Amino acid sequence: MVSIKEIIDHLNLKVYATGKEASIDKGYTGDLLSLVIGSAPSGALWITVQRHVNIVAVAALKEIPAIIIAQELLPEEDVMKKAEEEGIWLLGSPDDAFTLSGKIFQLLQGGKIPR
Amino acid sequence: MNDLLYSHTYQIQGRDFEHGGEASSDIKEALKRMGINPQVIKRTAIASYEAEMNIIVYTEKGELLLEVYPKMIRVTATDRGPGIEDVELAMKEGYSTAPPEIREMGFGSGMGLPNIKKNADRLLIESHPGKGTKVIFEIDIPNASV
Ligand SMILES: Nc1ncnc2c1ncn2[C@@H]1O[C@H](COP(=O)(O)OP(=O)(O)OP(=O)(O)O)[C@@H](O)[C@H]1O
Ligand SMILES: [Mg+2]
Repeated sequence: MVSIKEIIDHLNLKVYATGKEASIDKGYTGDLLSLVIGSAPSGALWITVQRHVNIVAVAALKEIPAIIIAQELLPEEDVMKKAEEEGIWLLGSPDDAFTLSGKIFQLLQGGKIPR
Repeated sequence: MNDLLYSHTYQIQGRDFEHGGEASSDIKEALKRMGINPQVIKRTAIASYEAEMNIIVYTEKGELLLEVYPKMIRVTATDRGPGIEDVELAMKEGYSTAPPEIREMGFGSGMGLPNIKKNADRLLIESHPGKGTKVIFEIDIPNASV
């Protein structure tokens, strides 16, 4: 289990919306919303390049506490607002989804993160 | 036995992606207030979301009717959209007619109806091309505990 705050810290993530305090032990990477709904484990951290407001609805539905938007793609103001309202972390990174997934996978395994 | 404990109709505006998922989120809250089993709530919310998004993506407007009975939850999604030509084909994983601009937002993986099927105990789709679609699904409440 790694806290979201630790993940933000280790990976130097941008914080677009502050969510509820939570610890993570699994993740999911994907951009097709219905696949995320069908396959993401609840409580997982979600890595995506989607930044449309519906990602917040999907996260709420799946009890996903944190979304990381890869490759420095910026969410609109309304997406940040909605995430804040729902208590879901909306985070950002310049890394691509592969790199982000790898780093977080290692972190969840208890390994060190290559910065 | 079949007493209706609660029912509510949620209106859904087609193409309103901004508010996409609000009806199913309201359904989730209503079921929580009723103290329904969390697993049943989760499955109902997921199936409702997929039905809601299909109304938003493919139609002008429609509605979700939530009915809660002692032993099961029924959701009826009704729209007067274009209808589904071949329901069996539409049920196939990966089948989608979503246009490119919709796919760009992450819809159109052709997993919505399969997700409904996976989460519901019973699913019935009635569709008349040119007239509209009705998607009805039921989720059983275990131990008849509400
Ligand atoms: N309410 C509806 N009215 C008209 N056509 C529909 C409706 N619901 C579904 N369809 C048709 O059935 C197809 C499959 O629907 P389904 O929800 O399984 O996948 P999708 O919406 O294309 O993609 P996804 O749900 O994965 O984002 C749709 O592409 C569409 O052609
Ligand atoms: Mg769909």
